[in-house]
Amino acid sequence: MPDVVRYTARRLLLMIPTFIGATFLVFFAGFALPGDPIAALGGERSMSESTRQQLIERYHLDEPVWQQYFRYMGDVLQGDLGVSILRRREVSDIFKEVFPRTVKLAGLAIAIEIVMGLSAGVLAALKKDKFLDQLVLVSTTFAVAIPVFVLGFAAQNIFAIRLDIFPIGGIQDGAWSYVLPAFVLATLSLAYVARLTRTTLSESLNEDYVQTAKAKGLPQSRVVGRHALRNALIPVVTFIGLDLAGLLGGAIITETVFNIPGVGRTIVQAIGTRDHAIVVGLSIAAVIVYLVISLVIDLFYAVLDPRIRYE
Amino acid sequence: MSDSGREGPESSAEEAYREEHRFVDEAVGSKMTAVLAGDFEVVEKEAGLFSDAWKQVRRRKLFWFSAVLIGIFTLMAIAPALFTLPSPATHDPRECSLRNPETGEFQDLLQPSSEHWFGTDIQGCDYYARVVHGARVSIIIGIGGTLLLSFIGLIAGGTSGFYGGWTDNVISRIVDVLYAFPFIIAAILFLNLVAAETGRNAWHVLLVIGVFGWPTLSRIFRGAVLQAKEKEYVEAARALGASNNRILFRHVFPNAIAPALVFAMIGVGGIIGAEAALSFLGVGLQLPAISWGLMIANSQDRIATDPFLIFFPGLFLSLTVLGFLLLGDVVRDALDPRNR
Repeated sequence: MPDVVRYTARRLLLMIPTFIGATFLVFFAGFALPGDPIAALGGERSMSESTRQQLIERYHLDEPVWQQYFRYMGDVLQGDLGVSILRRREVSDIFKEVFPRTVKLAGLAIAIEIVMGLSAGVLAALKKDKFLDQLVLVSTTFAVAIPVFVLGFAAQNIFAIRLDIFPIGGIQDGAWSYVLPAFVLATLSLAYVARLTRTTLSESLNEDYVQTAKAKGLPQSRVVGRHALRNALIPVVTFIGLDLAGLLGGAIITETVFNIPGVGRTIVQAIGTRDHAIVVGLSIAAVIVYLVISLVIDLFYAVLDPRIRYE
Repeated sequence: MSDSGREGPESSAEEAYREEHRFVDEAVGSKMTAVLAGDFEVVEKEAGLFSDAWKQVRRRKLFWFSAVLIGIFTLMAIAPALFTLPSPATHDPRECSLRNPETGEFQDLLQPSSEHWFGTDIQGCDYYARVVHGARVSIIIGIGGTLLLSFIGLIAGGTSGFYGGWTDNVISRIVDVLYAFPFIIAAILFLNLVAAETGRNAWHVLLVIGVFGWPTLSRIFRGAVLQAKEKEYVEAARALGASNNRILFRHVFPNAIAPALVFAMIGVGGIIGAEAALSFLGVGLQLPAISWGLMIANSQDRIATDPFLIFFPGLFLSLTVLGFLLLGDVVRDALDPRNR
């Protein structure tokens, strides 16, 4: 399929300006954060003018921003995200340590979204305008209305403090410590998945080919599962994919509320300690993860739905 | 035309009707007249889209529920005194006392009671007065931020969709960049930049939200403009020699605005949530400002002992967001032609 190849090439080309723009914004904002980087390099104690000059030369701080940016990006493309002077560690090492936690949290949240969101959406579409449908509509509205950190504290209060089922935060209990945060993180998208599934499925249930399948006397499970749901799922799959891309960039608020040292929490902490290298390095890693996954989703979407024109 | 509630021959629907007929009769012939006249029915309906929507919206209980919620919190933002007046405690959120006024004993973190409806905080401030005064910042940032991002988004999306070409390309790439740059990281980084020395206030937060929040609305409006400009009535207006500006503001804009409007209404709730989240993370408003997000942030260590300190601002915050969310939902149902 040469069309697919051309489409992929075009998407890759379009990604280049996006990539440069987004990473430059992160670089610029990250290194413009308040705090004197040279003082940090010198261990935050007074230094002679010649030492200061040497540090500036060593770290190329006298070059214009765009030159520093290209130097830095050249390193990033070779897997070097810089060095955190405060923590005396390579940022890529820190990333390797914190990213798996974010992946666990995001993966669990996505699994919850798919299982609960899809079933709620399918049930609501099949029982449209009945009690179950109304229940799904009302509960998803509330789920969207409650801000994530309020929901997080409510969950902590009920399930960790009062009922004492889950740990209140941290990751000392292994996989178990990710369950409650994952539910909190999943709630918002779960509501969207349920609503999206409900809308697209109830639309496709009215399509001619579904009516034909029904008229042929096929059992309902087959009509819904085989004929209606397959087409209805395309936008849902896209949404879930983009959501995954976003979550892997670090669920800042959930990680903060539940004290999970993933990508997001580490970035926020680094802003507090003025650790520019970590802020910039991890944010750029997050942007790269997001771009790669959304590209994959886009291509996957084009394969999934042959109606998409490769224009 | 008399039942359309419009008067005078200058109304846009009549004008479009006359324009179309002149165009059709002269150029195409009677068969196309029927087709275009059929199409005109749609044009006429869309011209009255908002009055139709209003008729439909006001019959729904959910609309009135959301209107009451929004009304209460807007009033609370404008005149907090109205809400603190019936409370037996102090009406000033900054007038705090650690001494019991009768016995003179020291006391803080009182549980909710008939004297202090929402209890008192660690400095002995009446929590009800503080929570009520928190509405102002949320409403200002929610509505102001939405206006700003809608303004930028409509201009960007409208230009992009209507003119196409390289303008579209440049704007679409900027939108892509902002999409790839997670909103919350952007807000955190830039809020740390602005006013790092002087301290941040509501206007800084509003500005950053507006500047980074517009891409989605821009995309939505661009798509709607692209659809609207392909319609026959635009072609008709162009054939009649209408200027680009006239086509854009008279024909394309009114027919493309509905989805962006719905998004903006729901967006108010989202922005109120975003402000609270940023303040909670410590990069939004700073003390001594009174904001629900800040109150929750300052109470998070007391979740086991004094959960009411999180519950009340969280409740008010959620109800405000709910109000705008429901309003957007109801309006979307009314504006969506598939629901008629």
